[in-house]
Amino acid sequence: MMKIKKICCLALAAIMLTATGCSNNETEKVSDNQPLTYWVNFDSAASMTMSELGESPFAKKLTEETGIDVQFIHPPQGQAVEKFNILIASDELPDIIEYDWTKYPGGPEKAIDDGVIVDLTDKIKEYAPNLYKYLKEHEEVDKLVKTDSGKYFAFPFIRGDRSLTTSAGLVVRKDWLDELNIDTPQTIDDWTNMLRLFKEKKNAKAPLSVMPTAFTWNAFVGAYNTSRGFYVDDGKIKYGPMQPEYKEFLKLMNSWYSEKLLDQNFGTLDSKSLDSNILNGDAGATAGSIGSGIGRWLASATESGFDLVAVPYPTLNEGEKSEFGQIQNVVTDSQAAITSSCKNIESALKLLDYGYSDEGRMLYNFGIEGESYEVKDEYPTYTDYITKNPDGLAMSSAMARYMRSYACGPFIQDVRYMEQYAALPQQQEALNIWSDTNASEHLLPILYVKQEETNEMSKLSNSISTYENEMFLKFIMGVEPIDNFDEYVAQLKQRGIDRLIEINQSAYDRYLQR
Amino acid sequence: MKTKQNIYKAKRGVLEEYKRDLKSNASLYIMVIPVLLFYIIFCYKPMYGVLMAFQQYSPRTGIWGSPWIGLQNFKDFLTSPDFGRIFRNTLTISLTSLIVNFPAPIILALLLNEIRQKCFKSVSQTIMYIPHFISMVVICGMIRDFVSDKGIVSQLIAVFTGEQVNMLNNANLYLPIYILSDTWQGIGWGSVIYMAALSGVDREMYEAASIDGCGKWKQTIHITIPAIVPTIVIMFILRIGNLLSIGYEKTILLYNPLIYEKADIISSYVYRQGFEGQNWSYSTAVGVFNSVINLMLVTLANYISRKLNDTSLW
Repeated sequence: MMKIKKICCLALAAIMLTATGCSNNETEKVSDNQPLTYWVNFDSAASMTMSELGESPFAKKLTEETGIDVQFIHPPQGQAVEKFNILIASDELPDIIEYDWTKYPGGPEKAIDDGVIVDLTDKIKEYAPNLYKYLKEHEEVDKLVKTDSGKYFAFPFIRGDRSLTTSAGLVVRKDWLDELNIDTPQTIDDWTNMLRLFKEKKNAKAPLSVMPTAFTWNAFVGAYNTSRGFYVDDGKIKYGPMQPEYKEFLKLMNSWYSEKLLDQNFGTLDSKSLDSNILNGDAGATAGSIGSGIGRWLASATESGFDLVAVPYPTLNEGEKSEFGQIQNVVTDSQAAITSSCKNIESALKLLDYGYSDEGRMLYNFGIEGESYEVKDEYPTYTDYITKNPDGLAMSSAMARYMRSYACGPFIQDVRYMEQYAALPQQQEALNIWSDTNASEHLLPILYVKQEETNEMSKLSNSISTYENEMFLKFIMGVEPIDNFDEYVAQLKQRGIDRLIEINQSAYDRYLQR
Repeated sequence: MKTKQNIYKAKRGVLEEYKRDLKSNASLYIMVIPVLLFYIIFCYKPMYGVLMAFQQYSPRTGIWGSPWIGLQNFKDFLTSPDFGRIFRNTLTISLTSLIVNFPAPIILALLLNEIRQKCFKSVSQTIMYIPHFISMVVICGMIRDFVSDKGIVSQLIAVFTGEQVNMLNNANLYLPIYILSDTWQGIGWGSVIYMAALSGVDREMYEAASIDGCGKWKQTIHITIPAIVPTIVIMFILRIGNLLSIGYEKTILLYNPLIYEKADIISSYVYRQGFEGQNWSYSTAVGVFNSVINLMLVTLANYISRKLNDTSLW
């Protein structure tokens, strides 16, 4: 017995010694210049060559230029939302968190009230002069960035040019159009004829192959002057899927589906099967984005003569302009905020403000001069390392090592990035064609719902979007007859769509007052 | 020994009795500690999270700081337009599964029991165990491929119907796909416990029965089945307790909005609300509701079983 006690005492003493040793080390570290911790999502393009952003030449250059050490922390891919929620429940927050803070339960102002992030309103002018200057010069951006009560809570990702807000739309096989001698389709009738020809003459199994998510880009539904989601019409918030016009759109889709012009599997289509449909000639038309759509398909096509062309968002009558199309706000939903755990707020502000300075914008958009870009005729041109990577890296993966313009972050995106990223003539043309809509007039800005309403709103929108998704597929696939549209609208109302519109409307009215 | 203990019991107080018991069976008590710890740490401690169901929970303020809202979440769920459908689906899927997948391993065990060729028996058993060890994600990927419009099962069915379609787009086919794939995956593993029970049956009884003129069928009815009835009953009660708790994994891997009508169940609803919609409190309330119903069912099954044939869990 005595022996055991002795051993216990010794063990305890040893533990205590090591424990005090640990705490000593820690206090030493704090007094040192500790690096800022920076929590940010790590995308698949970046993970091709690196295990964390800190390894990149970009991060090293950032530290070199600002004199601030940064230690990056990343959630596992695809788990950002879960990890974020666990993160904010803990008391040890990283110094900077880059996340969609509008998704914080209760909104960004609640995040400030909860003591998660720091209110930057009275700090920006003094410690973030570059961002402050940009916001003062661009009132419309300023309005999107601050909350209803005029608070600044984070460093936003700003698209430096309107043309950067549209990046996806409809795509058609150019070689098929030429072969069948069809003009670029403009109206819905053109589309029906074209798809029929694709089916009959080209033996396409799924003439139009589109993923369900691509319908939120409002192709086809836009022709009926409504959209698949919330939109603004003359200052009023409307919900597209309950408008009478929407029924006409569903009728059209249903007729295309039953005629087998629309992919019979579109409800469960994933990007892998979409790729195979397009590359194997099963589909002649689809919806896609600049890079991962047009760019990738053109690059991986093996069929000779394979060519794609972007076509405008269709309308009902010749010569009209579609009211809707794919578009994003100039400021998107990713903001770098400084947390209440941050010991050195001034350094954090300085670090984040760098992306809005002239040199910082070059680093974030183009990387390091001489390595990832060269200035030719005053135009920052990507080097071959980026465009024709010697190791065979995809352009975005090569970019991920030197810059963040291909994704998002606390900086102003430069239009010259897109001019080179979408370098193919088909891609450049696509950007012009797709952005030729009136979509910006109907786009909802970033809305901040009142704290007390967020819980109700998330319950309502969950229930409604689930139901809408389900009925969307059922109507088109003919499982539910379109005559039941009125009952569907009644069900939406029962699920509280009117209340949801009301919440959005009041948030929108507050936005106008900002 | 026993009489001695009784004398002690009479002489000293209850506390003393416990002390003595603790001392004499110390090693047993030490052995049970890890099990207790497991239940306390992993089953009882997390239960305080149930409090979330009565709150408007926010991760930052935590359970002690979030506002209380009473039974609002439960009311919302019971009056939600989806309630009827997901409750019905959960019941349909679990009852069908009970009817099909509960007897299946028993029948398989009885069949395997009759095989005399040792080598063949163990090989076929091993083959039937394998699907159990494949991850659910992989299994569901296989199922989706098999029943897609170009899949092997769809092709087989197309021989009769002439039309090759993606079977997961048809709400009415979801139930058979779900249940039969469960049978395929679970039948081998499920039969293990019955095989064990069967190996305990006295061989002499069969010999006696065959002398009395019983054929194989009669032997099964009168010897084998009665021998494993206690096992079957216990398994049945346990199964009833899980009646409503069908895992969400398989459902969310197989379903799509088109077939929510037949496929959406309580646990997939909880998953969507909690992880996709981040309505943690609401999601918890739905989960609590589910557990309460399960508890009621298992109590009921246990009661009935005790009344009918004296076999019960407690």
